[in-house]
Amino acid sequence: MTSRRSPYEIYWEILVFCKTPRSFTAIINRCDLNSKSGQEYLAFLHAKGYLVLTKDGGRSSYVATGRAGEYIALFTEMYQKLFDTIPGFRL
Amino acid sequence: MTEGTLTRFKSELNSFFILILLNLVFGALAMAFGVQYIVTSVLGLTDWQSLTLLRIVGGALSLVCFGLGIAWIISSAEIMEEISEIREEFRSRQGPVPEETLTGGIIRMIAHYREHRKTIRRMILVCTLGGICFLVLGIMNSLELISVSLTSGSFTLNSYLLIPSALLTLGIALVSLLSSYYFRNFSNSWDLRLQEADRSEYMLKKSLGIDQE
Repeated sequence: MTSRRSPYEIYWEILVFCKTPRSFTAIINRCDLNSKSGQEYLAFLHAKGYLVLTKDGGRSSYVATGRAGEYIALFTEMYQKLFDTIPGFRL
Repeated sequence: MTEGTLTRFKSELNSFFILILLNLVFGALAMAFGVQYIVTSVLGLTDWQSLTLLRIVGGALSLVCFGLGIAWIISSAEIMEEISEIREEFRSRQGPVPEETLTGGIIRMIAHYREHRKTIRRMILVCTLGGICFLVLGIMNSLELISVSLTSGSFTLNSYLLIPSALLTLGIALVSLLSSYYFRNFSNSWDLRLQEADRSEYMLKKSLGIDQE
């Protein structure tokens, strides 16, 4: 599944899922990533300020920041345009 | 924007699902007719003298049709599985569909097309070849005798088998060629969308300062 999606599609999936705090395991399960690639994607989004790591007791979870909202909105608009601007397939 | 996009997305999903379903059915029919024509060609032989060129070519074409039928079914089944899952997800939803669910569905369709682009191109080829083979087979099985000389030519039609056999084979040939046309349409639309998605990602990268390291 991973190679079928572009990194930008995976970023979007992670950020949408992390609108509420999520553990690392929940993210990689939901976004169909392996542990190594999951760490890479999360580290990248964290470094860019789209995700923050929160600690609640002994548990760490990731949550999307306000900047993530901008990315999600722009991505959603661009991908929905694919169906608005390009003539679709019909029988 | 979401309602219109959702309607188009669902309509496209349904159209593609119906196209694949039709291909599964006609793939099975193509395979069955291939077997039937092979059996007819072999059982129709009473002695070595009845082994005409027409029969040999007919038998070989039947074998090709049988193989194409199998390829047709396998390719359709490969494409069908995930399309069916995405379609069910949207069909089973009650009430308005959230924007994120729709975008998630679009991503799944794009991912599906990226993975099955080669299979869909193979389907275009298989359907075209299948259509041509069945067209030739239908004509050949309607002919009882054909003779051609330098100055003249004649053919005799097998009147008992002509109508049902020719119509069925012609029907499969027509569906096969139409499927090829529709698969090409689908592929063209999605190739454009993939190009546009690549362009969008470039813009995302630029405007948000995201770059893969």
